[in-house]
Amino acid sequence: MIRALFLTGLLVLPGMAVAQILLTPEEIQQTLSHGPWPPQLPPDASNRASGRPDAVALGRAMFSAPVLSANGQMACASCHDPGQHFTDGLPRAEGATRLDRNTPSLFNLPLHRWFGWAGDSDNLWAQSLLPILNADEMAQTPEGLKSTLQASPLAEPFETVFGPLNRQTPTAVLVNTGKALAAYQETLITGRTAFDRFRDALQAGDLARAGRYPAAAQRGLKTFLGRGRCNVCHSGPAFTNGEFHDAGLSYFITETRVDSGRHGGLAALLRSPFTLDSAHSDDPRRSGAWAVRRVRRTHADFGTFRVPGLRGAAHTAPYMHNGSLPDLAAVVRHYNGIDPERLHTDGEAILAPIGLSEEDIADLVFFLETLSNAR
Amino acid sequence: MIRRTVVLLCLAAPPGAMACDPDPAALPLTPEQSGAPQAFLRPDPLRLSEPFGMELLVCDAGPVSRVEVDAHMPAHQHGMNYVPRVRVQADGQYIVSDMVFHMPGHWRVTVAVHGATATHHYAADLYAE
Ligand code: HEC
Ligand code: HEC
Repeated sequence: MIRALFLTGLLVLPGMAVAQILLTPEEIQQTLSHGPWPPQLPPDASNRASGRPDAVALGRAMFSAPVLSANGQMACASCHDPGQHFTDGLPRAEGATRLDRNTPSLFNLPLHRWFGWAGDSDNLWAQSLLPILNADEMAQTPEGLKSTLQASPLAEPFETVFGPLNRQTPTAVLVNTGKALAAYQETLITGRTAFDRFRDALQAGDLARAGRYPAAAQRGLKTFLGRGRCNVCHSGPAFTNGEFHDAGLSYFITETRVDSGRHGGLAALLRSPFTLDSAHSDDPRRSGAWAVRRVRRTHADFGTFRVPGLRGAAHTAPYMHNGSLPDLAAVVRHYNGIDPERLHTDGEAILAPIGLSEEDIADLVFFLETLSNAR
Repeated sequence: MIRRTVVLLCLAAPPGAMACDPDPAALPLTPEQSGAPQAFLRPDPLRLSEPFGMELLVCDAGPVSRVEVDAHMPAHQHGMNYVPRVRVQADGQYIVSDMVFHMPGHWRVTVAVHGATATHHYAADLYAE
């Protein structure tokens, strides 16, 4: 169907600019795999608060409540600023001190299997309670959190969702706080974009509509799927395979300190009392627990980071786990001139210099921007 | 194509072999050495970066102590990020779960069947899109 229509890819409709599809049938098939959007998302079975409007409202209030931190000064929103696409715009986050990593945006989280740059958690509620306890972030203890909550206006909505506070252990209060925060964050899904309209028109075989997607974006998409091989890792509707790779960034934090990436993330995961395989999960079937049970540790984990999704990325500069690249053009230039020597010797052989011209670079950036509605 | 190969292999099975009745859609596994018992793989529908399962059938292998399954991408020098699980379903029949192909392209599945006297190694090629 698409194949047949492709032959008539050049359409001239009365009163309309020339609508042209530059993709081959194979590229069209690949393009379809990056949708549809938004995805159908079932509630998180491990979180009984997932999808409950009262829990979402509680989580939203908690997200911006500095009262939850030990010194009453810091909230999730201090770094994940809703006005800045849930980032802070800084290369690396500022907590009590400068943290080692860039603050990621919080969109499209339900599409992930692992959370954080290194995948320290296998679920969103467990990831959401880490900053509450981290001494350089909100610096709470479970006991402190419980008494703070009891004395705050959040006590009432919390008890509506999770029952009386005085009958919950401090650990249960902590986990339930994570679950309310997760219920809220799950609702943060990026909107439909110019790319989605293009993709859906291709799927419907409506080439006139698809042809409205700018030629520069189509050329950039061709590079993304072809020479750049970006879709090897940035695959699927969220443009991430959800796994860990070495994209050739430095993993030195200072001259003497390194970020071990997934290596350390796996160690943290396997130590965590809050995985999908734990009694804190509300899913009697433990459906997602296969991943933490079966995940493999290898030398190649060292210095790998989770592949970020690319939807909305135009709004979340600077980029990479250490925020070292200031804009999307810098990211594309990084891949274009990647130094294979800097990739791990025991790592995978995927990335290599691409040889893009200035025009190709501009097209690829243009394409990436169409994933953010920035064009 | 695959269908035809399977039928031919079944006809070629020696008389008296244990009943071995692979699904017509099953993929024959290529043994590393000749003389290995026939084996077949039937993968569930593949979705990139999502866990999938496979049925493994080993014909007339005698007593088997252990079966190991793994996969890697020959072109990229890496394997799977998860260790698949193998369960015995019936004599010679195994259920493999928690396979994840996290990148598109050519994956080689490897199977080791540890018998009483020998270990037989097999491979099959799968493609993830
Ligand atoms: C001091 C700044 C700061 C504060 C405060 C903060 N975060 Fe974060 N957040 C970060 C950084 C930095 C990371 C990346 C951490 C890593 O990968 O190690 C992160 C990662 C995350 C992630 C993982 C996102 C992903 O893509 O997997 C979630 C979820 C999250 N934070 C939620 C929260 C919630 C909920 C709160 C409040 C309870 C919070 N954060 C408070 C800086 C902050
Ligand atoms: C081998 C897998 C792989 C390939 C291929 C790949 N990427 Fe990435 N990408 C990653 C990883 C891993 C990161 C995070 C790296 C880090 O922080 O150290 C990343 C980060 C990014 C980011 C930054 C996102 C953010 O929020 O910080 C962008 C943009 C990006 N890639 C675009 C591309 C483009 C364009 C291509 C093709 C030219 C490409 N990627 C090819 C794995 C890959």
